[in-house]
Amino acid sequence: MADFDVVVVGGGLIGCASACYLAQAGARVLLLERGQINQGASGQNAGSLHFQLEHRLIQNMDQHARELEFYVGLARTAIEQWQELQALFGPATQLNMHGGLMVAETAEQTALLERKANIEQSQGLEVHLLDGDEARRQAPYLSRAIQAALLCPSEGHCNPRLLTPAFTRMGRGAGAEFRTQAVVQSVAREGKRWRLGVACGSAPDSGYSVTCDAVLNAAGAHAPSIAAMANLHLPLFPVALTMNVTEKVEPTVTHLVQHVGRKLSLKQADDGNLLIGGGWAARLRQTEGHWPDSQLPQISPDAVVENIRTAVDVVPRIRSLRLIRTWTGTTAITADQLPILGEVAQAPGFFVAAGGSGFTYGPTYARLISELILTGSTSYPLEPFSPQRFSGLNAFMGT
Amino acid sequence: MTMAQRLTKGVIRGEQVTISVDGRAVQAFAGETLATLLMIERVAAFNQTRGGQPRAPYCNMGTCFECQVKVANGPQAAPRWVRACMTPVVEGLCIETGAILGNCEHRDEND
Repeated sequence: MADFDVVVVGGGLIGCASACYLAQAGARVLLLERGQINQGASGQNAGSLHFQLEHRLIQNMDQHARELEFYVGLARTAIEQWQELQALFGPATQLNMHGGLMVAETAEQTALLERKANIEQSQGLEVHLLDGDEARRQAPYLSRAIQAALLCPSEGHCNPRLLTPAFTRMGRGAGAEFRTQAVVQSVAREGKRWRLGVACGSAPDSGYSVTCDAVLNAAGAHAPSIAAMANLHLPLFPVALTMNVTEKVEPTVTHLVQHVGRKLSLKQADDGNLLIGGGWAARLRQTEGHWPDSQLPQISPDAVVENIRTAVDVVPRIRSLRLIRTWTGTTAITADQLPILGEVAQAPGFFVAAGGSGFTYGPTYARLISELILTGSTSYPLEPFSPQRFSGLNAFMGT
Repeated sequence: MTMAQRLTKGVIRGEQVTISVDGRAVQAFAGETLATLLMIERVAAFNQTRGGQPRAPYCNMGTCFECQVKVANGPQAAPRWVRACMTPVVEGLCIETGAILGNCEHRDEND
């Protein structure tokens, strides 16, 4: 018998939630995290629950029509799951689903919102198109410049610093083992099993190995390195993003606010701080053509200024507030912006769950990949997200 | 809270002025920070969160925004939020401690 049924690599949201769900289903689970739980993108992102199609997806709406249909369907699955999480974790994770608005400032953007609403409604996602006055009635903090807004009542936000630890506690309670400072150094096929070589971060000489029936690669931006250890290509690319937070103010912004034509995500934390992001770039550090992952990305001051300018245009109250902190984090994207979820055909027992709006959909990816690992099928189809769409890359790879 | 005291030796103080802390007249020295003054006055809550948690200086260098306090330039003036650690005492200031953040202008001399 292998040491574990499943070894999960990566202690972010997807990894920890997967370990939790797998253990709850009775599997013997070990999670290996090279640093600390929630240290990467899972704890650094904006914490948005955005179920409407995003700015970055709408830009390529025509090319990816079929995938987007699946994506909207996945949103409905995710909404149900977040509602369960609200009952389960509630205030402990500062999770609220008070609704989200995607705003438009021009006639062209309003037309885009209308098109988007049609796609979403036809897929069964509840959204309501509001004109500018109705939007300001429901959200008095919005600028006079807002011409329309699409309201999705299920949207909201959750504190990213609290969610992954909550899953970790629940996973431990269910019997999963979480090891931090555990650096995976090798991933090798051994008959029908996998053997992982692990070094202890604080004592690099004290290496050991574990065997398992299935490996789940949930290492986010580092997932390609873990795949490489198994002699596999994984086409995920690091992306450096920026977040900003203002000082605390009176309750002002009650929704998650996004923009259909500009990069913006905006929300107010329970403490009163406004969190401002929306996909503004930071700069990855580079050495000899590589992206060393040991350093945080560098802030681009111009991006911060443009991000705040966008926020002020939408919510004028922000003009008189002071920014108290800007930080960066590294997430991962694929060429088609969709996640990679599934088993790699060239390496049976090697599963991947990474990329693609990993906070909003992280718990859902975790639940579905756990189902796939344990039963071979899922309650929502994962085909559009399967690593098989890149299988050509691994035609000469694998074991 | 540690009992704070002013240094007495080798320090040149500004002129003595009177300001108001929660309606009480308090002697202070022009140019010292509001954070200094309020710590000497043993104020435990410079402001409080909406959940009722008291907040007081943490970094004392303008970064953390934990020491924000509500001040007005006189009893009739509009109040504003300032960082106590970055704001010098001037004659006639009116300070309200322990207020809940928000609902008026956020600005201090260093903005």
